[in-house]
Amino acid sequence: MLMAAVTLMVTVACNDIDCPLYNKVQVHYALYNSADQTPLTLTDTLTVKAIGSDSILYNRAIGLRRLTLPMSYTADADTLLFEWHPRSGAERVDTVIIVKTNQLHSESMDCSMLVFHTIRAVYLYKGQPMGSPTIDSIVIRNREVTYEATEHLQVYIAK
Amino acid sequence: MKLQNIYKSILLSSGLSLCISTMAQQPIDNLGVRQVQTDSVALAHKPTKALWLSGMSISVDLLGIVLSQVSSYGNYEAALRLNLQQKYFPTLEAGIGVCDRTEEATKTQFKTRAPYFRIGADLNLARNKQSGNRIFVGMRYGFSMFKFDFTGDPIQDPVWPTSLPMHYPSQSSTAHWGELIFGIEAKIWRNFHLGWTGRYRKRMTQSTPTFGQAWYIPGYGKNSGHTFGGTFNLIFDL
Repeated sequence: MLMAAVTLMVTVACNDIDCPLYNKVQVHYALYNSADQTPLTLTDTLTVKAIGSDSILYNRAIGLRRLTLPMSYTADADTLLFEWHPRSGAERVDTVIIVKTNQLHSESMDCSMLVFHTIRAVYLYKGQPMGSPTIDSIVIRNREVTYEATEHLQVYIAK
Repeated sequence: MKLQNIYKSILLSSGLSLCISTMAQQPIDNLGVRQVQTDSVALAHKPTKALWLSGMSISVDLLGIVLSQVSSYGNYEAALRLNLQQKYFPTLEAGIGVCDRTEEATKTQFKTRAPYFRIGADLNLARNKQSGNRIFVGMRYGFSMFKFDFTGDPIQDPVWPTSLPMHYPSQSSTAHWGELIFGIEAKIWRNFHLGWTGRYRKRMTQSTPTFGQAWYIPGYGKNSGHTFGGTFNLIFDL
């Protein structure tokens, strides 16, 4: 009787894991046209790099309306370089600095550990030479960066 | 035979010495029958009424001890139970919940050893409540204030060449929960009983550290909104 009870308890304990199915923590950038505030689809090529990393976060993106980019696990601020490669005219680079806090998140020890972030501020430095396309402004829409696929930053682009 | 039963009842209810002394003092009526016999018969026909406090018992949970030895978590639990008229059993359960679990896939370790308390009551549904065997339902309120260690390998950042340390010792948490209980208990020898309970547990509130909830709550089990548990008790009637 005792053995049966032990077996039942162990079985019940082993069958209950609630890990989230979508567990990628990324910042969702939505692109808008700064002239009329409407959603914008990229017609020029965009490459996004991060200072302090060898990785290219987005390589020659085109035809996109949204970008999803990672955040660093430990740094207080991430510096991202948005490199525009227009069909005509000179290439330019806009620099975006995202100031944030990082928080380890454990849904359960059965699941992968995640790092959530809270966006504190965003700074934009427009690249030279001035021209288009370029990032005109960035609006923080949702500060909490988790595995929820919500719009965090609205990027207004001057065409 | 009937008369023997009557005397047995008289002896049980009032005691032999009291009965004899009373008989000696009673006058004889006109029919030559002692008055005390008439009273005794009347007493014997009254249904036996259990005392308000019929007794108390202590118990230990054997299942929790076994689980703590063969699995990553378990508990050491004892209970004190009052017996009110063989029907109501107010109960206080106290124990120490232990958990030492390492998750191989995520390389994390959860460790705690902390007390917990439950208070509640059982209702005996057995038809023959004097038999010593019981079938019962009950409710509990449970509470634990505990600390735990949550550690693991550093988390490597896939993009930036850094890693996040995973070392969170002595994290504080509290939990409150309710339980619905069904149980059976049988007398095995003299004052000893064996019994088991099945329990549905519903977590009511918990306070957690910022990174997330504890994997295990002492006295509750694996941490989720609701869970099932049980006890296998050795009970001694005091």
